[in-house]
Amino acid sequence: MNEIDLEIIDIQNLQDILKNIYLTPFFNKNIVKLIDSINADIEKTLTVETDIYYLRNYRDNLFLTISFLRGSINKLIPYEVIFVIEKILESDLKENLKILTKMLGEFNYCIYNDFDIKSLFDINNISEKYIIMGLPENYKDIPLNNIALFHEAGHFIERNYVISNAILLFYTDEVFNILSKLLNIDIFDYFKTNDRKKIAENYLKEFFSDLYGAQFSGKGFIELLKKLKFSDQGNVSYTHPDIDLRINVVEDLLFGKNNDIINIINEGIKITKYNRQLEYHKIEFEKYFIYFENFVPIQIENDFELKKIFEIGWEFLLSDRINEGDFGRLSQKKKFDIINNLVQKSIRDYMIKKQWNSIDEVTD
Amino acid sequence: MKLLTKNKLNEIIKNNDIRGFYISPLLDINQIGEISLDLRLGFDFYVSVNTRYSKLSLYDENGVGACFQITKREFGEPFLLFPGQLVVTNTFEYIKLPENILVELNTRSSVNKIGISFNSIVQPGFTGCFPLELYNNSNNVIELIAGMRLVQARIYQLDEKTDYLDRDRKYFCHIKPQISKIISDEDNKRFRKLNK
Repeated sequence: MNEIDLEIIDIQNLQDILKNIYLTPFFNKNIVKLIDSINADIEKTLTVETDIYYLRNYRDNLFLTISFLRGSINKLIPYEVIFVIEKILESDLKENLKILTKMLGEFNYCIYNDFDIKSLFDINNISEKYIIMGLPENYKDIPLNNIALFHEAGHFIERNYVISNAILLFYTDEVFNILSKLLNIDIFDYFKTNDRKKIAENYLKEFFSDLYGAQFSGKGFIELLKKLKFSDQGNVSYTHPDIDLRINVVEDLLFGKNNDIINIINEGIKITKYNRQLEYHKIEFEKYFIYFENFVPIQIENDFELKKIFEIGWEFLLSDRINEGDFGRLSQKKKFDIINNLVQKSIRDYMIKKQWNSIDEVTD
Repeated sequence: MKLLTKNKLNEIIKNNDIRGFYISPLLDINQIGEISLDLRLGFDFYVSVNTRYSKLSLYDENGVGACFQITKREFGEPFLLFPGQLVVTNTFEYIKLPENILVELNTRSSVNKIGISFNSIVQPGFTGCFPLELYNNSNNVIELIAGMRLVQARIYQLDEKTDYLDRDRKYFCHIKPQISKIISDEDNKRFRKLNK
């Protein structure tokens, strides 16, 4: 047995696992076609390929792909949260997409920007774009804890439209001036590096993603950043701006204040193909609070309301209303659980009603 | 106590009053019958399973939870209920009952005839997806469908109001099934002390 045989056996073993996923009764029919296509590509590869380096790389990609697919079929994924993010990304990318999820054992949210399943295999018959996101399994049933995924969605958009890169290309000096003015210490000096542009680019990416996420989670996003501050402990980072600064930028967006970072990002967006400015759309919370005050889900009427449901949930939790009326008779934990349930049910009802109404008539 | 009939049920559904009787969502107006309202099967299921524990003990804090496994279906997906198997689930509809409305829940006649019978009372003031405990009494595996019309609710108006939140409620505003919290009954705590 030589090393090529061993690689082929490894790929065949992984293919068996892929087939087992396919055969499970809990399989998600949305990705059946994708798995069929990957299987066909494996068959073809094993027949024609003899280059050891190619096979090794192929095996690595297959290994990762299986881990992502498995996360999407275990029926434990937070469908409602994923549904909202799909809607947001679809309208920004103007194409059909599917999000595959990887449940993570650790506290981490991520988007696998570099992992494009369709480009790893010879697949031509799949029209949807596949995006892979990771989230902590422990929070799968707590939708309001998952607003960090909106930040990750921001990373995807930023990357897709190459926004930070474009900003730096056209507004290099302006960006350096703004950052130098805002940062407590001279970050570029601190790192003693010539790679000022890389640091600035990293920071712009984070600011963009924060602002993107805050558009859909409002003050909840500030609470998320406060949580991160606790673990961040004020370290100066090559990749992430200071949390207090990030909070300030998000607050300025939410409260409609002038902010140099927001301005330069929005200027930069104009030179990309992303045709939407980062801005906060105010909503009339009272119209929705009345549902929560009465312990019932919100009747979501359209996609705009759908995209704002997490913000409404957080706004209610952070308002005095959570302590009034019958809510005031409940423990803090119960209040939090109920609002999470109502947010989840509001989304689910919207999903099912759409599905139900799309069937015009039932024929045998 | 007065049983509400079709006209009144129609009125309730039409008003769908968030401060009174509220249902979210009613997919089909035909769910309203002459003296009852059909409700649909939800998507989440706690399925009873055999475990390494010899019994489901009310003296053991983890006793009940260990005997159930959660699973989920999408709308329209089948769910298999095996003979002799107990499944804890809930209605798809989220319902808020006013403090003077009592609901009696029964499986629909058509469902009884395939081997699943269930009945329960839902207290005035209850809010959430109604809990359902299903048991397959037949000799066959029964394929249920998430979202199917499964139970009928007979709705009674009481002469007096009650206060549902007068104590800490175990089952309130839930959208997923809850396994029995019988272990937390005050009586049980006494029994546990007696048994020590």
